[in-house]
Formats: sequence, C-alpha cells, structure tokens
Amino acid sequence: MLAETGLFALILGLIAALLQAFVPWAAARGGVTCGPAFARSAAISQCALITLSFGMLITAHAVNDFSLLNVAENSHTGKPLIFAIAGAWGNHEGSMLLWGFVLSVFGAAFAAFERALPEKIKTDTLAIAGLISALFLAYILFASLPFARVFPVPLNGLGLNPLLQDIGLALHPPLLYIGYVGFSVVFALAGAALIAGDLTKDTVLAIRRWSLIAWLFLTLGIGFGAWWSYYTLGWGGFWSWDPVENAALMPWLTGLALLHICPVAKHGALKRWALFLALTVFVFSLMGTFLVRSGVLVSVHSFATDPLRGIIILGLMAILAGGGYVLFACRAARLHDSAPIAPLSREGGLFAASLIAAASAAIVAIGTLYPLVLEGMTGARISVGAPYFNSVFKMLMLPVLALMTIGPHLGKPLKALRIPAGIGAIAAAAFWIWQGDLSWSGGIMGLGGFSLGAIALPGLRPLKRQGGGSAFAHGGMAVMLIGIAFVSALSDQNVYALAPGASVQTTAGTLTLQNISTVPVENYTAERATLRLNTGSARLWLTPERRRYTHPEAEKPVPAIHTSLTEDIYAVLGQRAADGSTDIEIIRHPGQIWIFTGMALMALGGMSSFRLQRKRTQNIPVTQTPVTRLRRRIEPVLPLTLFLVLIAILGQHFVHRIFDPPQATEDAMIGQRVPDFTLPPVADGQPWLKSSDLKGKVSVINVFASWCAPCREEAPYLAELKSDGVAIYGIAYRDTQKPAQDFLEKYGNPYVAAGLDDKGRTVMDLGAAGVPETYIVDKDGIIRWHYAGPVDAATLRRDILPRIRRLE
Amino acid sequence: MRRIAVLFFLLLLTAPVHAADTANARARTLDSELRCMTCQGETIAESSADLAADMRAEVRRRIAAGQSDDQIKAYFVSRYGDFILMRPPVQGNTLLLWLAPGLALLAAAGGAFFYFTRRGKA
Repeated sequence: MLAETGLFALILGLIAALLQAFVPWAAARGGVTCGPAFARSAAISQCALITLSFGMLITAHAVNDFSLLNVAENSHTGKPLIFAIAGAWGNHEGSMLLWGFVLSVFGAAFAAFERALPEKIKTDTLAIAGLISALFLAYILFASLPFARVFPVPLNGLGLNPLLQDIGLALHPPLLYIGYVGFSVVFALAGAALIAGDLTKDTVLAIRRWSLIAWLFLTLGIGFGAWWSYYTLGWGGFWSWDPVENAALMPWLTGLALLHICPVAKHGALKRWALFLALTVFVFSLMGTFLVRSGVLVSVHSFATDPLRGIIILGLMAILAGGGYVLFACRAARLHDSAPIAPLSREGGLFAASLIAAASAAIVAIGTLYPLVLEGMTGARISVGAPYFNSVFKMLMLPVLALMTIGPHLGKPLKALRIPAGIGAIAAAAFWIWQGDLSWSGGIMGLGGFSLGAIALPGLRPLKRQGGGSAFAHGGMAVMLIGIAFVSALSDQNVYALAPGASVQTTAGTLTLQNISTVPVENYTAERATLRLNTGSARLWLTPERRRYTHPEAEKPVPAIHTSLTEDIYAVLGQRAADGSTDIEIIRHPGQIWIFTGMALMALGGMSSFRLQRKRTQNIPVTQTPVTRLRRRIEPVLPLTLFLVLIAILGQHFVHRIFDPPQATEDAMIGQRVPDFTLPPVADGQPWLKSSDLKGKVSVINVFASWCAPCREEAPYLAELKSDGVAIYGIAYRDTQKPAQDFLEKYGNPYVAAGLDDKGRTVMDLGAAGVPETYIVDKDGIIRWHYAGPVDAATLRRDILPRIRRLE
Repeated sequence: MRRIAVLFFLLLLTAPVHAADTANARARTLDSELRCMTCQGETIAESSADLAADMRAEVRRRIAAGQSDDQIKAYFVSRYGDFILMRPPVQGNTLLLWLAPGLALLAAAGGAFFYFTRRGKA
C-alpha cells in the first residue's frame, strides 16, 4: 500500500507540476485572469502530493518494508531507526525523490510567502518552477523510481553503507539539496525578469532573498560535510578537493558572487551580470547533481554509477540551462543599466568581490572538468587534486582577504583602516618571529588580523547600515582562513606502534596505550583502544575505535578527537601487527576549531543578513546609458556559447562511455621492460621466481591473492589459457605460503611458477593497482598488454589469445 | 580593542613550538600528492587500502635511500602514469589547466576594466 500511494501521489504531483507550468501561460494567452491564482494552487498541491510520496518512501524505510526493492537494497532490520530513515535518501532513487520534494517545497513556499513582487513576475516564476519540477518528477517516474516492488520479498535487506551510518552524513545531503534546489527559485526569478525584459528593484530583492536562503543551506551543508569527513574518515582532513566537494563549491561561490552583486543591481547597475549569475548558480547546482549522481567522476563519494541516468540528467541540465541562456541571449539586450557605479566606491568593491567569486567558481569548474575533457579528447588521464587547488586558492585568498577588508570602506576615508593595518602588521611580524618564515600562513595571519581588526574596532563597524550580516560573514571567513593557516603551518602527524601497556614520547606528550577491548554495539562491533596522553599540563583520555559492521560487512576506523581552543589532538587506531603491537596515529591540528567556527560564523552572517535585509535604501533614478553595438551583440550570447561548448564536451564523453566502455586508456606499463624481481616460491622446494625466467618466449604474468574473490572467478579461464600452452607466471600479492598453496589446490594451479610478493614491491614495479591483474610479455621481455580485473571468457578470446598468437 | 589584540598575540606566542622532522614531513607531503590507485578518489595519505600502505612504505624507503622528491614521483609516474599525481605536471596537455586561474582572473579584471572605461566615456 505504501508504495502504491507513493507512486500515485508522484504521478499526480507530476500532473500538478505540468499544470503549474502551462496553464498560467495558456490563461494569459486566452485572456483569462485566473492564471496567477491557479499557479499558486498548483504549486501548493504539487508540494502536498510530493510530500505524501516522499513520506511514503520514508515510512517504507522506517518500517522496513522489504517488498520495496529500494528498501531491500539499502536497509536492514538491525539498523537504528534514524539511519533507517536516512537510508531513504542514501541511494540514487531516494535522493532524487528528495530533490524533487525540496523543489516542490520551494515552489510552494514561493507561492505562499512571496508577496512583494508584481503578479506577472510571480506567475512566470511559478510557471518556470513548475517546468523544472515537471522535468525532475518525470525523470524520477520513468528512470529512477524508488517504488519498484521486489518478488519474492526478501526476509532482510542488504543494509546501508556503514560510512553513511552517521548523523553528520545523514544530515549532509538534505542540507546540500536544500541549497542546490533553493537556487531553482533564483533561476526561475531570473527567467521571469528576462521574460519581462527588465530587472526591477523588487525582483533583485526577491533574488537576493531566495539566494540567501539557498546559500545559507549550502554553507551549512558544506560545513556539515567538512565536519563529517574530519571526524569520521580518519585522516584528519576536512576538505580534499574531491570532485564531489567541488560540485557543491561551484554553486556556493557563484551564489556568493550573486549575493555581492545584488546590492549593486538593486540600484539598476550591472543587471545583466546579476541575471547571468542568477541563471548560472542553478546551472552549477544541476551540474553538481549531475556530477555526483552520474558517477562520471570516479570518487569516494559516488555511491551510484549509472551512465544512462547520467545522460538523462545531462539532458535535463541541457534543457533547463540551455533554455535559460537562450532567453538571456534573446532578452538581455533589452536590459538597460541605470546610474553607473564608480570603481572606488562601495559598489565598486562589491562588483570586484562578485568578479573574484565568479572567477573562483570558474577556476573550480575548470579544475574539476579538465581531466574529464582531456580524457574524452585525448585518452590521457591526469588527476587534478588537492595540491593543485591548494596552491591556486592559497594565492587567491590573500587578495580576497585584503579586498574583503578594504572593500566596505571604499569611497570613505581610508584613514579608519590605519589601526587594523597596524594590527595586521604586528600579527604577521609575530608569526614571522615565532615560525622563522613569512610564508603564506604569515600573510594570512597579517591580513586576517587586519580584517578582524577592521571588523571589531568600535566605530569602524564597516557595514553598520547593513546590520552586520556581512561583518559576521567576513569575520567568519577571516577566522576560517586563520585556522587553515595554523593547520597548514603547524600540524604534525606521527604513527607509533604500541603494545598494550607501553608508553611513547610524542610531540604532544607521553602517550600510553592502556588496553584494547572489543565492545559489541547495536549494529557493529567496536575494537576500542584506551589511550592516555599526558601533555604535562593535562591528562587526556582518547578512545579511538575500529568498527566492524555486519550488514553489509565493512570496517571503518572512528578517530578520537580532543578539541581545545588552541589545538585538536586526533587519534586513529590502526591495524594490529604480527608482533602484537598496534599502530596508533596521532595528528595535531592547531587552530582546527577556528576553521569550523569560521564556517559557522559565515552561516550566521547569512542568517542575520536575511533578518535585516528588509530595510529599504533610496532608489537611484534610472538614467539609461548607451551601450556599444558590439557589446549588445556579443554579451547576451556569450553564456549560451560557453554552455553549449561545455555540454558538447560532457555529452561526447558520456556517449563515448556508453558505446565504448573505457578499458585501455593510456597505460604507463605498456612498452616497458618487465621489472627485475626475485620472489620466494609459493610451494617449498620450488625454485625462486625470477624475471629472467620469462626470457625468450611470449608469456603471461598474473597477479593474484588467496584473499581476492575475483581471482576465484578468473581461475577457470586461466586454466583454459594454460591448456592452450601459454606459460603463465603467478605473483601472489600480500600473501603467505600456506593460504596461497591452499588457494592453488582448491581453484587449480594454472602457473608454470608462482612467487610470493608479501611486501607488494614487485606488484608496484609492475604498475598493478590491485588484484587480479594480467600482463602479456613478449619474447624480449617487453610488456605488451595490461589488464586490471578478472579475466573472463570474452577477455580471453578477444584480447589475450589473439595477442599472444600475433606475438609468437 | 588593543587588549584584544594583545590577547591575540599572547595566544600566538603561547602555542607550543615544534621542529619539523624533515624526512617525515617530506614523506607526508609526497603521500598527499600521490593518488591511491585502488580507491581512485583518495590520496595515499588518506587511504587505508593495502596498496596505499605499500606505496607509503615505498615512499619512505626511497627517501631513506636518498632519492629526491622528483625522483620518487618519477618512479610512480613510470609505473602508473600521470594519473597518479594529484598535482598535474606542467606539460603540453595541462598548460591550459595551469593557465586557467590566471586567465579567469584576467577575464574578471578585463570585465571590470571594460565596464568602467565604457561607463567613463558614456
């Protein structure tokens, strides 16, 4: 019953969305006046229906209705209720329904609460919002239905990825989605303004209002995500510039650019720039969803991989963004800017801030998409990771801090900034004396001191007339950057091997491993270490854990963190070694708490801006300024052109992936000589396995391990290869004699000779990333082919045998 | 306010000073620049996979053997290709990537310049 109710509500919701999109338009054409009222009712009923539908899915998860495929695949009876509920959106189908649900809530909220706008703008906005909803609901209904039944009904489910069984991560997607989806209202408002052919002050204020809500939730979502990875992933970092994190950062930065241009556009300047940003912020939100949900980026966060769905989401993005940019191309020339702004004024500073934020979004977008494009075009695979973004953004943050501090004072006497500048200089000097070098961290200390001084000094409150929201946000940014500067300059990380009862001197004090105990908890078993850290001034107890989950089977470390104002001490429980000692990793992060405090302050700033933004400022009379013909032609079509190029690149990559699944991208090992190795034999009494054994004939090297499940699958095919007279040499990765021998006895021994690579050095020399991997080596000892993954019938006949015959 | 400033510096000065262990620090930096090939989304500093552990050990072995950072990276690139470097090398096919931040900022500056000069004339 639950599923059917949910499904019908979803279908009715789609119908309501379609009516919301097209009836107001038809009504306006037919001269009927009920359009606006109809759009409002449709938005509210759509929301009620989708809420019902989403509610049914959550209930199905909460009561463990395993007759639903979605529940069976993602839930388990042994899971606490809160995570059973969170499991509803911990998968592709559920998370898309959450997307649709939030979309309908925003539509209804706009219909119900937005009063300060002309009826025409409101109705057009609702119609566009209805269109967005209709597209997404249709996608859910036809390509990603969470209400599919399964028969026979399983007795229990498969469970939820234990990494996701965490309150931080249960909250992270909803917050992020509220942020992403909130920008749909901004997009729709921009569309309505373009249809109307002007961006009035009321519309700018509405755009600001809704982008502030979305941006606020995005900030919280990103903050929760950062906090979650800090306290749960067990490596001490909070931001790894993973493509999926970047996907959230792009709309965040664009939203920031939009928020900074709104006070300028309110006075009638830079309208086109504001509308472009308002459209783009949602395009980036859609792109974020596309990147995360399509699995196009191989990433720890991608729990869903499905290229067909990727194409459909890309299509949705193309329709919406393309439509928005076409509208922009057609109508932007009609928008006339009024009173120009001066470069050295508060407005000039806001424009500069908006430009830098937009440029940062572009940099993140280019860095994230570059490897995709390069691989799609040339087959070359590169990584653009944290070191790239860190070097770029570290440099960028210095001028940003300066602009953030000086900007609000532009157009006023800069004398007021003298004392803060002095504070900054002293802070930088103090850091220099203390650390001995004036690196990036020193620069951030100086500029951060400058910034905080300018915000905190009495009489200098920069944006008094704006009520302090931006002061909070700017202060938060400065605090966060100071925290990052401390962490990047002063953190240290060490691993100690300790037996129970043993002590060791660490940089943080004397560390003692009291004991390690095994504790059964509701849905996992924890191996818990009790550590005592005597820092000289205090005695701290830390209890890091390794948790073993049973549904599904998985293991994750849970670090113990001691937080104080000056530094975080972070302890991770590693693996137990053969000699009975256990690896304990101690990471010290001075100033870590300030990073999260800064993020919270930014969110707080967003919140207080919202409360105080209803204050009105006087309107500057509209005076049209002439625009050159060239600009009038180029500017409006620029976004559309850029977007089409982007879609073309992403699209070709995807089509390529569907019809020609990636296998042999560039491989560094092909054409190289087999590395030298001498490995002990798997069976006693056999000779050692040497690379020289391979000389003079075409042979195959197979990397395997007794603990590797796919190696069992490929065993019959290796046997077939052996029966064809091919000499196969086996290298057992991270294995020992006994289990490797048992494996070969049980699944057959296809090898001429097999050696043990217990440290994995030869495997690394071979450029293998895991087990199993297979190589074809020619008579001269040159690697001619390399394959990662289990050999199957198709690989054997299509790739291996013909190649060997050719080489012979 | 001055009092707050003074407090800020006291805070700075009381934090413990520690000397960086250079070999360890070098190894940590290299760890965070090499991709874990099994997990694909993480560096070997972050990953708990077997291969990442082997690679970390290899990094330390090579540092102890006196190899430079560039030599160590070159070894891994010769085995796994450029994909293993989280900081892409500056070369023909990454030139645009490395120029991108400059170009984006230049475009922003150009936009502002264009806007203000036009306005000035108008």
